[in-house]
Amino acid sequence: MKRLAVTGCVSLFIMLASCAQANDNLSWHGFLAQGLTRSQDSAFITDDNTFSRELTEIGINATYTFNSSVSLAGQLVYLDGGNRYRQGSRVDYLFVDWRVAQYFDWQMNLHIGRYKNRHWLYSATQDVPQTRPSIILPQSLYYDGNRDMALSSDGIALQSTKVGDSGSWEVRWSLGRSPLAKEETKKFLSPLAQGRVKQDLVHQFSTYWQPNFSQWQVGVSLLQSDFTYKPAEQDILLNGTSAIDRLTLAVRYDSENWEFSSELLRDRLRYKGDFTEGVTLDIDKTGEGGYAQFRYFLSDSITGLVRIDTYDVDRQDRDGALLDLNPLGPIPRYYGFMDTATFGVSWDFAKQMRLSGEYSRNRGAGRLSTVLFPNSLIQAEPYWNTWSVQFMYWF
Amino acid sequence: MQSGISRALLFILFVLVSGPIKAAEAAIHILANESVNTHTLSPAQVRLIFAGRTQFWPNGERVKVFVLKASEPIHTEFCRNVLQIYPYQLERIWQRITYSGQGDAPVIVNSIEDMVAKVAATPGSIGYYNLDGAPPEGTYILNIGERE
Repeated sequence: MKRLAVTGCVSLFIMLASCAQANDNLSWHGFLAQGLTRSQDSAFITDDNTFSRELTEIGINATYTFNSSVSLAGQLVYLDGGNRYRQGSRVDYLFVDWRVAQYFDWQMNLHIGRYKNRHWLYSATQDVPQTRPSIILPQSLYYDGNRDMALSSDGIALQSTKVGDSGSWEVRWSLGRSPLAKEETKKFLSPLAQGRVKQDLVHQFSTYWQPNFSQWQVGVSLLQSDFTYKPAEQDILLNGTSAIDRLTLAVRYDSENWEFSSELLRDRLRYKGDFTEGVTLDIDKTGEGGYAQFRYFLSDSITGLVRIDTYDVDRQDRDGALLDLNPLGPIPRYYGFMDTATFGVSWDFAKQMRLSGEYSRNRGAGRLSTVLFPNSLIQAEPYWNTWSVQFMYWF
Repeated sequence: MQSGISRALLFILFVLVSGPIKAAEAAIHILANESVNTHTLSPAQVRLIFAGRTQFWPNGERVKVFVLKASEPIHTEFCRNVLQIYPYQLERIWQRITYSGQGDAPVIVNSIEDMVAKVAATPGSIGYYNLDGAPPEGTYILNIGERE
């Protein structure tokens, strides 16, 4: 499968290269990243505490401009991130970009198709290794188990940029749904679930403001999403629905030699469902978290990173004590939270080539999987580590 | 001890809230191909163009941007004094646009002479230069001022 995906990407690359030479309206780019990674005392990435090569990201994207109003853009990727997300290839985005309005001070674009979610600081390119501040993004917001659903959706998105006397405003709105693979249902719910989770709708809005010629940028985003469980004939879950409401606040400050960024979130999660064992689920809880990240540019080619990331699954139960009483079976308390300290360094050692390395120390396991179904929890000790080194090339 | 911490916090606060990068009188000019036919742009408009966010001119022609390598002092000066952002911020914006299907990053050229030649030869193009004398044939200096 991996060989097939790599061959597919290389073939596409050659085809695009030959087309691009002949056509000025086609532009294409790509990236290739391979690393070594390990999760120690946790199955977040690897199962056996050993270093693994399961840190592969290969992608190719292309944009064809039909005229000054319409373009078509898409990206195909192959990913292997160990247990972090589904291994394999996927179309990250494929949308028609209609420039509804384009003036010097105001632009509005409508995206139709598999649009890319752009609502958080790093979400526009979270799938592109060299654009991320670290190999693994802060899990409070950029939860890897949710990667495909968070990255793009099928539907419509509108984005507008306005430059005025008060500064630059970006407004984004989107409405769509994300297809979920069957194995993702098992990951979200339980390995015993035979049916499928379907996302009914995801509705998002965000706005970012940067004062004129200021180094501050602030933003807010809202998300509302509903899911329905479609049971199989023989299944442990007879029916089920869930809903997520999320509020995110973002801030970034850029200085000459350093950059500070932070995003805070509040998630309201509701689950309802009936199980064959006679258990009825009706849960309503609000999680909170966020990260603060500091990057220092030691030189033109070397960047250091320090980040604190935290997430509490239930703000009414920050130490996870109530997980003992979980209706589907007791869950260890340290699955009620997750705190992570990350230290990283990146070195751009040649043109369009980077070597990144990072270490994270984690306390708790609340962001490894859905903390609801005891048999779908990803195994972890109360304290655990991750190590990653990754080579990146882009063009 | 406490006053030391307070002073450190005040210093950090000062650094964080101190104003934008100070604009200086730049000897760098914006150079445009004669087909562009726009004579004045506001500083914010110039920034949108060099950031790759404005992809087409009002006449429907594609905007083509030429810049020097990020390590070139003239590029750094252009970013700081004309665009009033740091080169790494510009690169971050380009990456975001390029890798999310929103457009193309500027074309990087090797020298100012190369930039001038490319702007002269490419319809819809824009770049910058700091050479003395009148702009070469096929180009003109685009003014930065009040919005058109």
